[in-house]
Amino acid sequence: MPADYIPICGGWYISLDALEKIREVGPQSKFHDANLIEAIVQSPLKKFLDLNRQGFKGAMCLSGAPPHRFDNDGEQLATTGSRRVFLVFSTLKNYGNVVFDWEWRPGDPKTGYPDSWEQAFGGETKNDQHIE
Amino acid sequence: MTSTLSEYLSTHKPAGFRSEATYFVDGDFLTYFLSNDPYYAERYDDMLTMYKSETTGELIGCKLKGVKLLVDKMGEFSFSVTDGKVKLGPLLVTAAMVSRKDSREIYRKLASKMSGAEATFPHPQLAA
Repeated sequence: MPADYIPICGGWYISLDALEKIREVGPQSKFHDANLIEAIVQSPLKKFLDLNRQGFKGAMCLSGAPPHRFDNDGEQLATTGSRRVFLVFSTLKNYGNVVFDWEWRPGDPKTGYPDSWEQAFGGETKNDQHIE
Repeated sequence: MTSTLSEYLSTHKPAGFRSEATYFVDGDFLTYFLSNDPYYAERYDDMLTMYKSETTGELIGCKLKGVKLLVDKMGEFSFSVTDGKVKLGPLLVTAAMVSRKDSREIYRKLASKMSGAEATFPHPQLAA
């Protein structure tokens, strides 16, 4: 594992440089929402393969519906009743899965499906591994 | 030394907010926010995701994907990279040129809305 990547949990990593950029520039809520990543990669509601982007075949998106999100001050905000799902995007390196982005999108928090997921992703998967 | 994401987040605080284009190597994308409002993302197509305010629904930023390819294309359209940095406006115009015909208007609008700040970021080929 390169020195500038830190572990999230077993087999999952994130760039320290990426975190530092978000810490410096913001938005602050995105920085705080990184606290939600570990739970999503450990137990996602849905897993989607391929991001329908050139060069990212085999990349993965994991979705979930955390009970809260964060505001700019790091305070928790309840997500109950909101039509939002939390997505974590990853790619596969030779040392493991690397999370490179995370965001809230409109979707069904009961199922984990973001709106228009069929256009955004190549398909669903129940496998734990990326497909190369 | 930080050992995990959890430890990093518990020991670091955001420095603030700057309206500045930021390039992320692992995802080959850049983000640009006009404001610090809590937001949600809406995927537009394979190159563009828009960020909208949770409070007002207004467009407050965007994520432009496939930046390396767009930078290569910029040269074809006679946009230059100077001092190892790429300007957001020409990048969005390039995206408009390579996108589907029915998508070009949204890219032109973004270029108009977001080029005024002269956001620049290091050339992705150099940053990789």
